[in-house]
Amino acid sequence: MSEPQKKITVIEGKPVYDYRAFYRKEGRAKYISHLDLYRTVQRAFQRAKLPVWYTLGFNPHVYLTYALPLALGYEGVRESFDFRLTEDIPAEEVTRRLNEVMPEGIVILELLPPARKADDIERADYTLEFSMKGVSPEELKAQFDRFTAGEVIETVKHSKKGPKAINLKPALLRCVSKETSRGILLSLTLPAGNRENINPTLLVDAFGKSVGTEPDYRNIRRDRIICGDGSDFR
Amino acid sequence: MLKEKLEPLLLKVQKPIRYVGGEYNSIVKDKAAVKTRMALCFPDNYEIGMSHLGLKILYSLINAREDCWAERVYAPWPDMEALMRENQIPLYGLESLDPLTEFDFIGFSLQYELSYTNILNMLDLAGLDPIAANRKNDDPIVFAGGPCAMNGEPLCDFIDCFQLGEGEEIMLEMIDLYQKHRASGKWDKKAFLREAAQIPGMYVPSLYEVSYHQDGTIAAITPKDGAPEKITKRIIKDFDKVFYPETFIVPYTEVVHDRAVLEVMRGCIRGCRFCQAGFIYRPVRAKSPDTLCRQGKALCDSTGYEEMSLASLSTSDHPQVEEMLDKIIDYTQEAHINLSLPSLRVDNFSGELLEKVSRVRKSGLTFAPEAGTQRLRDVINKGVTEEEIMRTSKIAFEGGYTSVKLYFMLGLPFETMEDVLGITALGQRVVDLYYSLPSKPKGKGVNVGISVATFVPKPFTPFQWAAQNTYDEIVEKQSALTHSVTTRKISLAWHEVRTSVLEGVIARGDRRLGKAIWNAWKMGCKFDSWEEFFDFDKWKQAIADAGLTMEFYASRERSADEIMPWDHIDVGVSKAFLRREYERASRAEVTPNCREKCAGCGANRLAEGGVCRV
Ligand code: SF4
Repeated sequence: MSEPQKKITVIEGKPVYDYRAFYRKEGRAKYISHLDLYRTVQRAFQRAKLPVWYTLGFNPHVYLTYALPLALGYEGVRESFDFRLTEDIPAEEVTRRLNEVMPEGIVILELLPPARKADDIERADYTLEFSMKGVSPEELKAQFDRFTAGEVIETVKHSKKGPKAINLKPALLRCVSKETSRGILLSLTLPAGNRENINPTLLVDAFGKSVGTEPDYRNIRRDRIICGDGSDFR
Repeated sequence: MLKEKLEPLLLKVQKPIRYVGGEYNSIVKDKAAVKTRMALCFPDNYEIGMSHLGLKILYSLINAREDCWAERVYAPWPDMEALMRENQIPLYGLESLDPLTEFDFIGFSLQYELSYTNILNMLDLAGLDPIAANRKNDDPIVFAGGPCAMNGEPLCDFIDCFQLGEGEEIMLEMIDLYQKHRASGKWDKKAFLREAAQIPGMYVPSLYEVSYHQDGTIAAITPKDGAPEKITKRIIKDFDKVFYPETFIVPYTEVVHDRAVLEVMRGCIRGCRFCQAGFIYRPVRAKSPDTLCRQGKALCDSTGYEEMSLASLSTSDHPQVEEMLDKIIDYTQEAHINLSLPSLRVDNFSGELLEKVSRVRKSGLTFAPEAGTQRLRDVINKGVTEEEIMRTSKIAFEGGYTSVKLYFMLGLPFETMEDVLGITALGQRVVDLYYSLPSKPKGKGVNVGISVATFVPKPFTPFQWAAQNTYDEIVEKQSALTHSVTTRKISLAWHEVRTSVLEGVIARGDRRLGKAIWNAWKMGCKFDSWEEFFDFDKWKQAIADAGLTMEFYASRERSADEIMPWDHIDVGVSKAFLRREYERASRAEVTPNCREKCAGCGANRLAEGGVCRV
């Protein structure tokens, strides 16, 4: 396999090296909020003594962007963030140095030059397991399937602009349920990205409200981030 | 491992990250490979507990021993507590997620009195009986340390033993003794505690009997089973060589103090008469500039922190303050670390250092005159003069500053209405100063923020005999203050007075208050230092139900010969010295600081060779 092309930007006459880090977020690390994750990664850069690029201007800070933030409590198997280095250091070395100083549960898988834009992202695959107190897995699956079979799935989505009533039905691009020993396991594909982003817990919470019981989440995982043309976000 | 049971709850609470551990530099060991497990508890929430330097030191110190594993425990916020109780999840250590009942020791840091109900609540949440006498032989040893342990009497019902003074040595001695007792094969907690009482600085309250006079004052404090008559607090003699963490746990979420901290000094040479810390940490000891630089670099490298601060009671009094600041500023600038400096007395600094310091200092302009008139500042022995405030403010205003913060206390002993009104008068003179300057910032007004705390008399201070102002007295003084402000340039602020009243009751409390703390907790009191949870009526009831009154503890002047509940504790500073200081206060006589002239406080007995190195 050949080394992918480097992406180099020239800023104020100096080359900076653009990277997209793909990482796994699992275990206790899934409770790191998006805001906290920014600080966490920034400190990891500091510990690794990597020459990261700082933004220009009055209040310089480490340049770090996330194409698709991961909600609190979700694991991710191939998430990404973009950053820049001011020196040309081999990707393998950067990966190694970062992993040496990452907290438990965050593992950098590889570094690549950014290929796609965040706006290209259209949907994502999720796996989610939950249970409900006093409801058997069998009963739970039956109830859930009935809930998703309806013509409309009304719920309220809270955003910065305030609460908004939406219909989730058209967002269920794929929804498969399966019983487990303690609840049900869902495999879902939902709209994701800057235009429309639907988290799977929104669906399950709506279901919870419809039956009057709070779901007990066991595992929520984003498995794949997909672009409009069906290819993986790279 | 409670992971399975915890998981479904975590998305139902605010900030689940508080409850899962796993932070960078947190230490996970194999529990089968350690002999002793220690839970280091802070009886407040994660954000506050994670900011506490003392616990960071002890965490690293204990974990440096291969045979021990120390973990952190904080008070779960009420939303999490409710879910834990509902789902039978006991309080657990953040590193292992194991219940506290599996630990050998449960230690609490006592930083403020209003955290005490959280101690009972945490023990209960751990499935332990908060009452020490009811706990079983095999239950963990519950101990406590920190400044409030100097008068731990109100907690005697709940705590097996107190570590008095600095913990770096006594902690390890306590663990050694425990391991010896455990290794003997026949574990007897009582026998362990009896022997622990022989460790200098270890106070085992069950080995002391307290009797009372008819009027409620103490008649005698009698040791038994060979416990020492006086328990002398511990200090680290060679402070430059004392253990200091090479690294801190780096929290994910923002905590109150989220930065590298250097402990530059312990103790203080000043002797402000209201300040408990100024007396209980004597004698003063400092770290050398080189040690500090080395420790600062190690911390920043291993944490990735880009911010550093200095911890001490009065950094300006460091014996080599200029060399220290010079070196630390050089290091932090070179390493792109933001240094936050406290307000410094810069009078003697060289021009070059002054310039360096002013480049670092971005924080606002603050002064703590504590009292409104020079007479009252002499009463409290606070060496801030009006001239100093005016001089520094002038320089700052000319340099572009437009706001000043002034900190005061209300209810100080020997305070008159003139002193009270002196607070706003001083504020007014700062306002006037601003407008008198031709070179003031153009087109901008000035803001003088006056923050007024309520004075609470504390044990081991010259004011330990004094009556605390009652609630009504304070409110009257506050209203006089409010009415004396005639300009919008001055803003006044204060906290809830009732919490100070309660703090005053507990701070100088005796053992009988344990019942009141128990009653309050039973009525649902917790997080008492948080205004949204503080319930004064419940506390009133709790104290009355215990057959006690607030007035007896808070607003009563003690006589010179009264036995204080903490008289069997020796913090170095003698009672005779404190009394002398109280009498000098009554005459508004200042006492020079340790460097100018030793006042003979008695703390030198604790220092190497019996001599203070100020
Ligand atoms: S003995 Fe003297 S020098 Fe030492 S702390 Fe006391 S007053 Fe200060």
